Amino acid sequence: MSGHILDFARSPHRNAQELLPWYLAGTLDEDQDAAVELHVRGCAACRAELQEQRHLREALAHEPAPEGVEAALSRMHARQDEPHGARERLFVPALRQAQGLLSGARRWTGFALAAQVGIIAVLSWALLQREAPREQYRTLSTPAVPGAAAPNLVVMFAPQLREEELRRILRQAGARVVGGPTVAGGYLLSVDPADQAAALQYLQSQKDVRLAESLGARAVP
Amino acid sequence: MPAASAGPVRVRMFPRRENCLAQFPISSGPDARASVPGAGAAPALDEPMLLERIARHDRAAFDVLYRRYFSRLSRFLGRMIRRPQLVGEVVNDTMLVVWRKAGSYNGQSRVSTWIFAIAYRTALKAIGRQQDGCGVDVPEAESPEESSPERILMRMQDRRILDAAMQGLSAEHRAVIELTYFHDCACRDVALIVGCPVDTVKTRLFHARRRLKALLSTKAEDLR
Repeated sequence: MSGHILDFARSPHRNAQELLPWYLAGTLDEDQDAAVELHVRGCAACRAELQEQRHLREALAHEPAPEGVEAALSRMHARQDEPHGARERLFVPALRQAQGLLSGARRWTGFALAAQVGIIAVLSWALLQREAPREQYRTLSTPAVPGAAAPNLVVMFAPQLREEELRRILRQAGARVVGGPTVAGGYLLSVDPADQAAALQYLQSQKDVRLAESLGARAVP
Repeated sequence: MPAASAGPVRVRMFPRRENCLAQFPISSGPDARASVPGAGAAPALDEPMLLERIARHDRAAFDVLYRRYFSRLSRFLGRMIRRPQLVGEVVNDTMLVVWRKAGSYNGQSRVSTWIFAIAYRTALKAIGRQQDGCGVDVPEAESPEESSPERILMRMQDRRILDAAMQGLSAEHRAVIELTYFHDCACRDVALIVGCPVDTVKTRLFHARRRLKALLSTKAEDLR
């Protein structure tokens, strides 16, 4: 007998069985350690269990990498500045609340899902409506303002042209500016198609009009 | 190393540990200790001293302690709360209590035990549990073991199966397993952390092991 009777209420076998994980880890005090060792030496079941415990210990040793400590610490710094009374703002109660909501939600999950699908559909439709014009390919002959007349002429004015002179030229030509300036500095004009040739002729005759072209198959500056 | 009074000297697979939680077995990422300014190879500041400074709102001391515990707490709380995306926040909940309550540390246990006890209570709150009532949840009728010990060992070594089986345990069972096997806590330290008598902890771990084995042996297919 070793004399190390540790727990009279438990059999030495049960006692050893309970202490095996700490025996393996080397965290028992000396008396317990010696008692377990003595028992294990003579007990095949405990030796088998010890072997299994060894494997479990190794299997549990795997350590997934935690998130970056510095990022977590900087979030911590923000919370350190909260006033002492802010204890209720611990993250944990919020989590619990969220869990409660989730568990309570099961009853109306069907309804919630249906509502969610509906909302998604409406939002998607709205988004598509908003996005659609942006998706269109725009050419110079596309009206810059929806509903505006399509341009059929492009002009470039001389840099020194005064504003009142510009107004006069446009009036004479019967044209309205519907777009521009383009990258090259041209303006897109709209004239009555019936008068397009005459307007073009007029514009080309003006000294302060550097360029006047019809917007058709011809290139635009 | 304990002297084996008689008989052959036992060769241990793992060295005897004098200080639970102090030696983090696996270094992951930048070593927290190495990053302590002026700490050199060994931790220059002992932990009670750090807590004393933290109690006087010394932020630099807090940062040192935070870096030292971050990995260990992440691992422990990760096992406890089962929501990987929230682990960082629950670590911070724990460390916020440390920041505010450092003055109440009375030196009767190691600092690591004190911090892990806070972490344990924080984790229980996070998963909506009351304080540990120190009851021992005995698994109902053990499922008959269908698997050979070899098969259980194989499943144990399959990380996914082991993780799933661990998640099948109660939080209290997971905690005693994690503290004993991974953090190398002596039985009395586990008892201090979970706030229960030593005998309760022994019995609890015993049942936790049986339950884990049952999960590994019969639920492996379900766990996949």
